Amino acid sequence: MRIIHPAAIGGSLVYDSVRKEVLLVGGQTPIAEGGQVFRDTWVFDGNDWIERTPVTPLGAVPLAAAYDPSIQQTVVFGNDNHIWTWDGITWMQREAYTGSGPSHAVYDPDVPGVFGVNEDDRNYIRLAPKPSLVFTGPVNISKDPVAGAYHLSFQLTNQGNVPLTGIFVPTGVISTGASRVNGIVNITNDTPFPGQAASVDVTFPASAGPGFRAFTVQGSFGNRASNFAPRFSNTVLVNLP
Amino acid sequence: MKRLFIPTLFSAILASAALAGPLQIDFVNSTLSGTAGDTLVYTGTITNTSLTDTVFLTGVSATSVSPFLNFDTLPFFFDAPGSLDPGQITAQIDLFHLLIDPAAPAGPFVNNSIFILGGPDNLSFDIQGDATVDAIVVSAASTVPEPSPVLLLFIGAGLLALLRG
Repeated sequence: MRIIHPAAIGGSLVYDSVRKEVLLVGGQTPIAEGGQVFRDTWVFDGNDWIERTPVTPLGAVPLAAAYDPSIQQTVVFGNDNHIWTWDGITWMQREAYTGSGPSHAVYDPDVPGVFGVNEDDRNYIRLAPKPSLVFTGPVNISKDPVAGAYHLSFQLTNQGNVPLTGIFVPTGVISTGASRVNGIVNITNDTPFPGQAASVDVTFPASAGPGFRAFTVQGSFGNRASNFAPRFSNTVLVNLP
Repeated sequence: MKRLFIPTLFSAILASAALAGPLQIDFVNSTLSGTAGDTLVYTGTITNTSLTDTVFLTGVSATSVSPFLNFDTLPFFFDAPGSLDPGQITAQIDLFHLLIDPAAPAGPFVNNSIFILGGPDNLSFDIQGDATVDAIVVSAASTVPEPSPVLLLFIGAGLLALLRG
């Protein structure tokens, strides 16, 4: 076994059960050797330690880390008062927290989420994100008197516990049996916080109606470059005039 | 270690709103497993627990916890009735499908959320019931079926017949 990671004191070691890797973040050299603080990211794949890039962004020093299997990510409390997540590919800055941060952390399946503790009289809990984007009516339907196009407007509400960044809907679909008609989507406020709604407008050609139809909007939100970009699908019945 | 369990603040954590409605969703199995590329079909029944109010079913919203899981909510309208009378329960129906991306890693994906929408008429889209489902993606290598004993018996008998013939 060849160990090349130089951290000798501290640091957080977690096991990523999905990627089958041991992740090491944080730590420092002994004070007598300079007390250098590490911000880098290392994984052990069973044979070697491999340094991953990017290192912890923005210079944050990892204080405590735990693997959250419910979201398949490692959750890190940084000294910049932000929570960071590592998805095996990259680091993402998440919500802020107050206090000096925990020195130890562990996943608690009963929460579910990551529980951290320090000797500053504070416990820290990072609930596992539960994203939910829910269709909220009513659906306002209008028909262009000239072109006959249908305009449907409604809202998608964040019913979860995390902000939903950058809702992306490639298209809306009207289904009638085996046939389908695509519509053009426009979204206002595409980053709703919990309890907030995004306003959505979809324009369909006249061929979408008339009559009762199943109307579906599917898409994603979050950082699509990372592994935390949940998907949603909403289907409702509408009566096109 | 001192004061380990003193309950104090935690920060920047947003709790999800508690939701309630008259519809109760009972899955045949709320945890399904499959390999990458599979489609999981969640089936179950919906019960209108209200003793007084008819509930119209006008929509279904679903959110997965992973980019590797894609809900298809359209099948809901293939089977679900337009409304449920007080106390009425549906037959066992396809509630929705969950498509596992071919590139999905193995592992559990829990707390995917489902909401059924409706209300007192077919123009209402309020939350009437909610539930969560889990999906477990297993590696294809662990699910390669072994030849059945009967099949092996036939193959052996065939080879024996060829040798004797």
